Amino acid sequence: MDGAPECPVDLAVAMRWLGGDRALLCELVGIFVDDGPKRVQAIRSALTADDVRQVEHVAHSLKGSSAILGATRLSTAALALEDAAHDGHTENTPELVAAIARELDRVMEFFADPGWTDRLDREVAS
Amino acid sequence: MRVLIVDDEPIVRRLHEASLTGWGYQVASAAGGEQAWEIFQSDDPPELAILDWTMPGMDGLELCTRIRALGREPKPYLIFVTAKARTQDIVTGLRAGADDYIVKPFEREELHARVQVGFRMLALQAALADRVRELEEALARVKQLQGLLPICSYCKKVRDDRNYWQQVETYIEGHSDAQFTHGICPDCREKYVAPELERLRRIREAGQSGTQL
Repeated sequence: MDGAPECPVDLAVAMRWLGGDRALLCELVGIFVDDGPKRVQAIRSALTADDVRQVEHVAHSLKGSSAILGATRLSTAALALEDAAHDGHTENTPELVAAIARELDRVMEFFADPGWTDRLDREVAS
Repeated sequence: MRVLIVDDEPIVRRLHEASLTGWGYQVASAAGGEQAWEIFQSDDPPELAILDWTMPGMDGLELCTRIRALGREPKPYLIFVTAKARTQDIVTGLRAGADDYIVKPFEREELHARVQVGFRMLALQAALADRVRELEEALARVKQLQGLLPICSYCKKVRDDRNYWQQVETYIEGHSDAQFTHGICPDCREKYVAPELERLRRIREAGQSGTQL
């Protein structure tokens, strides 16, 4: 048990960001599902190339997009990597990247389940 | 009212696009600083832009600095929307030429309100520019009446810049927005009109009495 919350996505946060626009959320989820795994790959490539600035940039971008979708833990993990890269503290980056990959998997799994829109409807109704 | 969104993150860009389109603005997007710079150098740049700061290649700060250095009139209204939240970041962004600065995360309604402020400022600037232009045109007309103007010592005609002698009122009407309506001043009434009236009165009296004047 790692203490993680049961749900990796807080749909109430997402709906607040989007002003309650359900269709827009579905559209943004589609973009995220296409794009998210590429972000982790981009971080790993930048680390291999020792390009700390690129690591910071991709982590920054992932932090912002995941926050909009209510993926708060993923956003926090991306922020940790962004800060580390910004400060030049690369010694912990493997663990930070692993944390991002883990959280991203959970978010992807959440959105891969067609039932997430039912949860969204319940959220809207409440 | 045209808005350019500059953000490399597709989800943020799409969120801005949906919001601004819903609020009735014409929206264009650029995925990076270089693309936005091309748009700002075009003949028809946007009136207002929302800039992310952290982008690969040309970042928002450099883009903002370049746009201001371009010196175009009217100046576009630039709003940073960024996660860079330190006071020093905000100061740096505003000093680079941004008109406003919003720190992420933000509420959509806040962005809407600030965009509305931006367009109010642009309308105010346009109105002021119009007024300045009107004043400059008026000043140019006034200047046409300045300088050394030759005037005839006897008939009081003035000589124009094409060497024609004109009545004073004709000259002034041609060189300003002034128009003349004729009247008689008290002095001239005393000097010219009163004797003439007196002369006419005497003629009438002489005619009545049969006296030859």
